[in-house]
Amino acid sequence: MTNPGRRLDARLHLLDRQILDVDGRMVASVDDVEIQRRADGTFAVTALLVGPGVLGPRMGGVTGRTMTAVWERLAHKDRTEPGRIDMSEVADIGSAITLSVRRERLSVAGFETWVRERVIEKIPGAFHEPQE
Amino acid sequence: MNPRSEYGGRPDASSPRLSSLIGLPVRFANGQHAGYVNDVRFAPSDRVRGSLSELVTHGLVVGRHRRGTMLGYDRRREQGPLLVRVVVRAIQRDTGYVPWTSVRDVGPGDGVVQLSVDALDELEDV
Repeated sequence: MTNPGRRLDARLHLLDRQILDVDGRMVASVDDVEIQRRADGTFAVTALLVGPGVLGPRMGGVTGRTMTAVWERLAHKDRTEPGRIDMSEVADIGSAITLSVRRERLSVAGFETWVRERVIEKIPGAFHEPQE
Repeated sequence: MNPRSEYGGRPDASSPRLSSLIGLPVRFANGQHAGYVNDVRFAPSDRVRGSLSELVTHGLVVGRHRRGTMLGYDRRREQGPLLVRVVVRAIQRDTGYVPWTSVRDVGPGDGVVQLSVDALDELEDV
């Protein structure tokens, strides 16, 4: 549970944390954090960013560029459209980040969702009932 | 109120990201190299965003190594095991903290964080 006065180190306490919706269901992992400069010169955390289009540039190198390029081609998006969860939808920051909304309300597709929809479900037989 | 409008427009790819600050070189006021941004420490402000206080920059964790985070061993004195903690702290002995009030300029474009002081503070636990 969040201590209201607690300080957070963003890389340690936010990046790569799991995001759960209000029902405790997995949404995604935090791939980057959006910050915006305030009038007093400080930066405020304004959103959590998710998805391969965000993770790729953060990773950098050949792996990161390849991930971003594949995602842009398959998802028909570019990196200017990151999966974005506004901080106003965050209810708690602990060992996981809990949202105050259901995941269906979010316009983000986490990497797992993306892989399921874009890769796994394209494989013939993906919808077969599991065998006993 | 749309929270996006508070900062003058909808964020997009040009909005700064945490990853654009991590790893930036840091310079003391006297021009000497202080290290690299290892992490950004945020603290709750008086402003509320949704159900939580808005998190704003409190300072920077600065270390000699560009990718110097050590799973929190360098931030928590009580985190064990002892042997790992001792080794990590020895490696990270030059890691320090600079409060945001001592940050004169942050230029992701220039690729340098300029400080107004000539020394780092001791890194406190979170």
